[in-house]
Parts: sequence; C-alpha cells; structure tokens
Amino acid sequence: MHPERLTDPDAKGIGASSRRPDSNAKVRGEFEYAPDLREEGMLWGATLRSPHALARIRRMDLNPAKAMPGVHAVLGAWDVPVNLCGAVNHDTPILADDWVRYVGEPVAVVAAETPALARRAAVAIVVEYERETPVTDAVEALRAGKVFRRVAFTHGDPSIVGEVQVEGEYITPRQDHSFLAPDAGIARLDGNGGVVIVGATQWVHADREQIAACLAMPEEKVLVVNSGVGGSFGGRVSMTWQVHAALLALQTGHPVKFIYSRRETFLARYHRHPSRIWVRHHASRDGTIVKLEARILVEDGPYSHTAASGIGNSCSFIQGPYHIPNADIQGWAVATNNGMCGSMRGFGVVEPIFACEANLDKLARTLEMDGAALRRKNAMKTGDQWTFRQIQEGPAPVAELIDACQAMPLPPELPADAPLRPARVPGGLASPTRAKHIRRGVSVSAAAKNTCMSEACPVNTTAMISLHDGVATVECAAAEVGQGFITCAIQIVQTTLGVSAVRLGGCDTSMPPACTTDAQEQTITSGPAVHLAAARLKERFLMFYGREHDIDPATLDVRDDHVVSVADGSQLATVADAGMGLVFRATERFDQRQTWALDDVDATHPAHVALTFSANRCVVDVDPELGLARVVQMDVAQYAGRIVNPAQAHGQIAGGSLMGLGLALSESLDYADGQLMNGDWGGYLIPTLADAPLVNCEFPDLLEPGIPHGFNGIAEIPHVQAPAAVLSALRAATGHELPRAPATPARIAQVEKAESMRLGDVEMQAHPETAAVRIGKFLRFQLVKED
Amino acid sequence: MNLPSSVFIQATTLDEALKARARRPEARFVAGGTTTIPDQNLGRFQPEGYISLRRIPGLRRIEETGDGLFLGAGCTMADLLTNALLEDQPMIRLAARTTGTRQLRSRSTVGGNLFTTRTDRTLPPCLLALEAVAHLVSASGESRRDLGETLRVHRERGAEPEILVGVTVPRAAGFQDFTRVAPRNGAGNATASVALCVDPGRKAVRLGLGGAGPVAMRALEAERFAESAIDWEDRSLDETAAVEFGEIAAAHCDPPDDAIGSAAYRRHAIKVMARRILERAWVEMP
Amino acid sequence: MNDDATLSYTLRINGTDREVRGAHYTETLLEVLRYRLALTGTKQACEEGACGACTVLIDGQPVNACVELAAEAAGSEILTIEGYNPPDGSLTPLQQALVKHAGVQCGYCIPGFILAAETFLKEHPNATVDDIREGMDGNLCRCTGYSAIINAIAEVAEGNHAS
Repeated sequence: MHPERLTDPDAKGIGASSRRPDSNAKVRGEFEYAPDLREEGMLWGATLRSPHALARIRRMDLNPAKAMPGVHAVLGAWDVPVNLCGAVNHDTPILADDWVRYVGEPVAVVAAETPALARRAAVAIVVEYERETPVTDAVEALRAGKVFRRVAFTHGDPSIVGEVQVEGEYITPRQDHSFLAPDAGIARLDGNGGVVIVGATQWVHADREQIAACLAMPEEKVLVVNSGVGGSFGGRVSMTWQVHAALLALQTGHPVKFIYSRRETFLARYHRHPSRIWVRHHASRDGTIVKLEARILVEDGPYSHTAASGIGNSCSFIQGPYHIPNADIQGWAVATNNGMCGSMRGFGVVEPIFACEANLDKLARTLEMDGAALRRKNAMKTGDQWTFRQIQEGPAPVAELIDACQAMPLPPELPADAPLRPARVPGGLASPTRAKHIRRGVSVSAAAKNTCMSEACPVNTTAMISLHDGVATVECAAAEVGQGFITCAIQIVQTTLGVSAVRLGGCDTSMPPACTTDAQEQTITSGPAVHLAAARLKERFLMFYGREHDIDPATLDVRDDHVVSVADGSQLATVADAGMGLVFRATERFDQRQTWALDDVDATHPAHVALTFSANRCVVDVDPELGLARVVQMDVAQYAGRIVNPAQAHGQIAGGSLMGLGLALSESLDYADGQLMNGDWGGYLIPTLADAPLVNCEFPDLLEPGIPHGFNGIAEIPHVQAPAAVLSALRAATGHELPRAPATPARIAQVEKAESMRLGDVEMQAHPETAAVRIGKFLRFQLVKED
Repeated sequence: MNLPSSVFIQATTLDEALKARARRPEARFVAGGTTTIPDQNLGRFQPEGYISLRRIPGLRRIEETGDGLFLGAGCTMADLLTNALLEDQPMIRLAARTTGTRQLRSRSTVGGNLFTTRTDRTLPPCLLALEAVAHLVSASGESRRDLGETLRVHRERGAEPEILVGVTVPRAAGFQDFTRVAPRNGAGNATASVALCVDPGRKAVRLGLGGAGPVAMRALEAERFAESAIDWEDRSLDETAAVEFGEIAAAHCDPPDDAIGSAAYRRHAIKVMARRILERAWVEMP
Repeated sequence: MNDDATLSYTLRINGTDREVRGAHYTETLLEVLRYRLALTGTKQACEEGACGACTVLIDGQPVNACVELAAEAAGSEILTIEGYNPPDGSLTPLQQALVKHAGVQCGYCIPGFILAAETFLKEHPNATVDDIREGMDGNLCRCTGYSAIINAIAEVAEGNHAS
C-alpha cells in the first residue's frame, strides 16, 4: 500500500496539508491550460522547421504560402526586429537567418484561419539548404574547441595520492521534460500599440525582457501572462512560440494561437544535456576519501542557453554530499548540433551525483566495505569546506539522513513458493520471470543540490498583499506550474497575517518581478517575500487599529481572523470589522544573499545561496538474465528546511523520484547524425503507473538559517537522487558495474557492448589540445534588471 | 448522417469494402485505428482515403464451429477479454490483456494486430502457436490459409487486396502459455515474446515468436528439435535440451533493431524465454 | 482541399446531439471536441494513444479520442469530463478522493484519469492496489509519481462508490 498523505480541507497555516485552491477546477476539467486558450477572431500559427542538423540557408521563398487563401501572414528572420534571444546570452535566433544549426530549428512562421491550413502553408514555403557536416559527438566537439564554458579548480593538495584508487567513466542520457501539456500560447494586441502574450512559462519577467527586446518595444508595451501550466520541470524557459505569435499578431491585427504537437514539443525545445563523466576517488584503506579527480563533459546544443550554469553546478556537486579534502576538477560544456539543451529538474546536478555515487559503489566494492558505511564515514557536516571553497554554513545532516533512511522498514521479501502477482514481478504481465530468477538489491546513496540560481545570479521576489473586509489577496508573479506554490503562499499568509481567507491574483508582468520557478527556489525566495509582505501588512493594520482605538499596537496581534490582545489572547474585533471597509496594502521584496562565480568563490564569497541534502535507500528486484527490473521501494530522507505543506512535499518527493527512475531505467532521447530518432511517447518511454514504487519520505526538523521560517528547496533533489539510487540498487542486485543510464534490459543483462573510456588519463594525454582549449565567451547573468 | 464521400467509406459489407479499395488502391482499410491514426497524426504517412471496416457485421463474430473457435477480425481485445467463449483460452486472453492499454484494447482488433508492421504485438505469436487458420476474402472469393504464411504474404503486398475475415483456433490440449519482455513494467511495446503449446497427445510442440523478425513467426527448427528431444513416455525433458531449444530458436530468427530494443537483446531474450517456457511446460502441464 | 474529403455528421455528446459540418475525414474526435465544439476538458497531449489524457467513454468503453476518427463516433454515445461532472458543481466520490489524497498537481492528466478510472472501478469493483497497478497503466502522469492517484482510486474501490 502506498503511504498516505492526506490533505485536510480545514487545516491552515504553515505545516498544514492544505488543499490546493485550484484542485476542484482541475478535477472537473474546468481549469484552463495554455492549449485551451481561445480568443475571438484568432488565427492559428504554424512553424516551418529545419530538417537538417547543420546547413546554410541559400534561398527562401515565402510566396507560395502567402498566396494561399486564408493565410494572413508569413514571416522570416528579416521580419524580426532583433532576431536574437536567449536565457542568458542572446545568441539564439528567433527565426533562422543564414544558418540552421539543429533539426527542428524554426525557419519561418505562418498565421492562417485553421490549424490544418497553417500547417499546409508552412510546408509550402520553399527553402534551399546547403548541408554541412554537423558536430554530433561531444568528445569531438571538445577537441575542436567548441566550448561554451570550461570550469577548472583544485582544492587542498591535488598531488596527493591515496592508498586505494578507483576510477570509472559514467554516462547519462538526454532526457525530455515530457510534461503532459504541449507547448502552446496565444498573443494578441492590447489596443494600445502593445502586445499581450498568454501561455505557460516559469518566469514571466524574463520572458518579457526577451520578447520586448526582440520586438524592439519597451517592456511597458509587452504584457506576459502565465496561463494554467500543465507541468514544466524546468522546460518552459526558452522562447519558442512567444515572439513568433507576437509578430504574427502585430502583422495581422488578429490574436494568433500556437499549439505544438507532441512531436514538435520534443523537436522545438531543449532537453537535459547528455553527460560523460570520468571520476577517480582516492581513499585510505579504512574508506576515508582523500582526493577526488573528475573530468565532466556535458553536451549542450548549438546555442548557449543555460550551459554556463549547468557546468558550474556539475563541477560544484561532483563531490556529492561528502567531505573531500583534496580535489582536481575540470568541466566543459560543449556545443553540438544535436538539438538544444538546457535546464531540467536537478539541472547540472543529476549527472555528477550519478557519477559520484556510481564510483563510490565501485570504491565500496574494492574496499569490501558496505556502501552506506562508506558514505556515512565521509559524510559532510556543517562547517566543512566544499571543493569550490564555499563553507557549508547551513545544516548538512548527511550522516543523519543516511541513518534515517536505513531505519525505515524494508519491504517484505517476495514469497519463494507462491506465484507472484504481475504487479510484484519484474516485467509485469506475462513476465518470463519467476521467483527463482529474481535477485533483490538494496542500496543507500546520497546527494546534495544547490537551492536557488547560483554564481552571481540575482535572486529576488517582490510580493504585494492587500487586505479588505477580512480577506487577504496576494499578488506575486511566482509562476505556479503544478508544484503547489500557490497553496504555500496562502498558508504563509495565514500564519503570518493571522487571516484565513486568502485569495491569489494572477501571475503576469503587471506585477513586480518574482524569481523563476527553477532551481527549487520558489518556496525559499517567494515564500519569504510573501511572508515579509504579510508581516508588513499586519504591522500597518495593527497600527491603524491601534490609532483608531487608542491602543498600543505592540500589545496587539492578529490571530484566527481576529484582532487580539497579546496579554490575555482576548479577541477585540474581527479583522473584517476592524478594517472598517478600508483597503490595507504592503509590498515587500526579499533578496537572497549575493553569490559569486566559481572563479571568485572563497570562504566568505559563496557560489550557492543554500544547499539541500538527501539520502535514498532503494530496493529493486531484478531478473539479471533478462535485465528486467522493478523498483519496489524508495525510502527517502531529505533536508528541505521548514516544510510548508506535508502532502505537497511528499508529492514532490514521489514525483521527482519517479522522474529520476525514468532516467535510470528507460528514458533516453536519441539522436543519430543529428536526427531525432524517438521524439514521441511511443519511442521515448516515461514511467507508467505500473512502474511506480512505494516512496516513503522523512524530513528532519531543521531550519535553513537566514531565511524567514527556515524554508529551503525541495522539488529538485529527489530527481537528482533517484537515478543514483536505482542504479546503486541494481548494482547490488547484479554485481555489474552498470556505468550508464538508462539501465535498459539490454544493459542490465550485459548484452550491450561496454562503452570505452574517452576522458581517462590516457585519452586526455593523447589529445593535449583538450586541456588548452580556448574558453568560449564567459557568460554573464542578466536575467532581471536591477533598479 | 454522413454525406457520401469517395475518400471516406464506412463499408457495411465485405464486398463494398473490396470494391472501394479496387476503385481507390491508395486508400487504407481502417478498423480499430490504433496504429493507422497514430501514424497519421505523427505524419508517418499522408492519408489518401480510408475505408472503415467497423460497420461490417460478422467481422465481430465469436463462435464455436466444428473446426474450433472462430474469432472475427473485427473483434477488439476487449471483446476477447469479456466474451464467455474465451474462458478456456487463457493464452489468447493474456495476449489480449497485454496488447496496449485499456483504452487501446477498446479498439485494437484481431485483424489489426495480425496485419500490422509493428513487431511488438503479442497476439500473433500466440495464434501461430495455436495453429490458427486465417479466413480471407478477396475479389476472387474466400480462402482459408495457414496464418504464418498469410502474415508473410500480406507483408509482401500481394497482387490483390485481401481482407482478413477472422481466424479459427483449433481446440488445443496440453500446455499453453506465452511470455514477453518489455522496456517498462506496464502493458504494450513488447520487445520480444514467445508463445508455446505442448500437446502430449499429438506429441506436438509449437513455438510462436514475436519481435523475432519482420512478422511473427513459428520457430520450426526449434519445434522439431524439441519434439525429438522430449521423452513423450516419461513426459520429461533434459535440462540441456531446454537450453538447446532456446539457442536454436534464437539462431533462426532475424530480430529488428529499433528504439525499443536491439537485435542482439531480442535474440538473447528469445533464447532465454524459450528455454524457460519449455522447462515450465512439464511442471505446469494440465 | 477536395470537398469530397469533408464530411458532416452528428455526434451525440453528453446526451446532446452536436452537428459537425465540413470536417476533414481525417479529423480525430479529440480535434472535433476541442477545436470545433470548444469542449476543452478532454486534453491533447501525445496524439498517438500513449498517454490517456484524451480518454472519453464511447458507448461505455474508454477510448483515446486522439486516435478515434470523429466520423466513426457518429451513432455512439460519447461521454466527456463535461458530461461526467455533477451539474450542480459538486464533486463525485472519485474527484473528492483525488483532492483528498493530493493526487492533483498540474492536473492536466486528471480528466483522462477520471474517465479511465471510473471504467476500471466498474470492471473491478473490489480492486486492490495491485489490481490498480496492473490495470491503470493507460494514463500517464509526470507530476505526482502516481502514488496519490493510486491511493485515491483504492479508497473509492474500498468504499465501492463507482458512480
């Protein structure tokens, strides 16, 4: 039976499992998502996309499309006032100009009266390409110097050698977000010379900045509105249809709607970058790690997108949640023509944790030591210094988390004699597996992850709150994408303001900026902003009441919808009555502490705002001969600061763990010669209900210092942890090294040929040019303009 | 009420369907639509007319005949799972159960699963192991043919269009079961499958393979080996013989290489599954 | 476009006849529901019958509307989430259970899950968690990890409240 986390319709405030304010609408199918949007008189957009991974555009003729009746506009690159955008650097064309650099790159767009007509018009456009040989191999790209960013640092004494050395090279796949709602949105004119863009996004203000720049309009003329979002997981960060729709709306005078098919949603967007990581741990015979060496190669697409932060994170967390006294770490983010890459849940950290934990499994086996004991022995603690020189100031209960997950009850063993239900057997229905074929693996792994964007990226939220007739309204541009921030915001106001009726405004750029829904940073940033606004509002409200009734406001509080006297708790008036019909307001901003680029980090200049940790004991049943695997249970202990909503928190652990399980067992978006081979859900396989393990989780009662209420991040680290956890359990069950995810049946059964090392000492020495590679443009964060 | 259309025909007789196809050879027959319509949506082909077989009565018949159990080509997987006449057909039921999700089973048909280019279907190897006979109709008339040969010929795009009317499954005795491997634990996307019938009365071993070639097939060499290796008096089989059975089955197939699985893994899986299912046959023989 | 390729027919949806005119013969029931009839409760997600977000009931059978030709559905009784909902705005036991168990995060998969689960509960009135894990794999969810949804369906099965 899956552990229950029930919501309570009456519970309020921080710590309650309150119900989402939108759940009724969602279960009735009445909640509007971006694909559901419609406007009177709207036209339909369609996009012509490159069929080539790398080609020069020699000639383009839009006239065949323009001539079709019912087609209102056809646009190419020259119609875009400023044709470059990007999450960090503006190096990504809105429409391809003289080159196409990945299959699926947008080349031209059409607005027409029906979706079918728009699609037919798009394919009627004539484009002459001159193909070039694409760069499709990350190691080759590295040797050719196609590097977006190189990170290199040492820690302690990099020349130290351990009594025992264990190395390996580990590979993780390209992963797709595969959120249920396809990419979609609508642009319309506002009647005042400006445009309104409505669609699913994670950061309305960053979108507005890019859209306005590309349209050569002031930001005041662009309103970006977040629609209902059908999942994002870091995948709704880049410009896809937004500028296209805006230009078509400006050209035609009509609203223009785009809805991408699932295949287009795969092709047009970025994915988690594939990685190849070489690691060597040096240890004493008693298991104490004395040094870590790593070479981290991460493949990005042809445009930089978020490449710099990804590799920065990877180099930060290759050490895992362990104390590492000496280190030599290098990482590269390289450019290929295999499609765009960028942020996805656990950005830049899934890969190094996978490699670190894999190599620790190898080290444990070499030392003949229990894997959990090895990890516990080297567990990081508060006060330790990270390899990138930051001091761990907040809680780092790594040993405690390892202990906690091991203390949870194990699942029962499978019966040896009785027939097994399909739901319990690796392979499910009609499985060839019987009890005698099954090996159970149990293993503990651990992880660390940054909370908030790092390396000098400013992170802040401004929240507005008003109070009228006993009802509070929060206006905060923090994007709700399904994770439940809106519920948390309501609960925070309930606790801080003492009022139970809390409504939410929408999410758009008419409000001041909030931070992005990325890097598990919403609760820890927008939570405090909402809290501060609620606190300020209460202050003003009590000051008003105190003045009206000649009472010292310092003796008053607001609790349970009443103004109360602090001395004896007596209720003096309802908030509604006390307000006398007036509207009270507060606007407050919360800034995370400043951080520095990795090159500039030291004991007083951190790279990351905050850190979270987890441990996961995973139980997997395997049929090693056929490579069939069923993850039975995951017992997770996770430091996530103050938990706002336990039911939602468990939902993030369960959901993130399953997404990680997908990467561990079946998800791999495959490119061959730059062509996407499996861009649909028949070929790209995400976990189904039949794959879901039991997920238990516990959170230690620890608070993040320096953050109101002690919040920290929660939603990414489960996805960072799970692939490492599943593979570790598979290794325990089979005895195989399993260096590569996904651990498909062919790989578990050892039918697939082993990968050869390409980043080891020998290989690097054979290519001395790699070490001296020219570093690409250093990337700066300019996501939100400072006042 | 539909207006008459030359590109979308909802045939009510087999004759009408065949004539429509003769007039418009580029049109496709559609029954359940669970492979044709995804392919249409994903742009894998351009539709040039559909001839729906859904409204032809008799294609959805299930009935006992003198020769066995007749399953109409238009029967859905859901039909196979609910019709009482299949209560003693556990292997067909299990194959139907593992054909796609509940939603797809509402529509996926016997004929669609047999006449498909997909290699991940579990019903065809089961019907082959059961020695089902195919009933076909063309402009030249009706015919009954070996199912395995029918699948091969259909794939090669024979001279004149044929419609599968149904299959007759002879009454089987002895052991019957099938197993599959897949990349996930749920239904659908079988990477490879094996279906085995062992009839001690006829001293017959029948092994159907899925995911072993372009169409489902019988592993004839492995069958012959097993029939001679089995001690029919003792009802026993040497352990090494089961191993060899698997190896022969794997050696005589040509599995595809695709996103779901490699040829090497399919061959390996067939070898292991064939060995295991033959070993089990003796323990579980009714 | 060939005029002969467009059709007109009547679809009976949630007990009401709806006229469809000039629809291309290749249009799916999902496209007709969402874009011609503005019934957007049934969701577009994969277009190939892999995810169940578009599940509707046709003559009581759960079907992926994205791979059903709309013209083929003429003459059948079609039920969508709009027809499933209690008209007074309240929630059915299954809907309540989903809310109670926090089975709704982004919620995009939920209408499809509801129609599929109602059929499942009719066909398996005393379903256990293992039955659910074997029988409800036709609906994908990317947010919840499924456990809350499984618990919600199990609770309804226990109470045997299939509506």
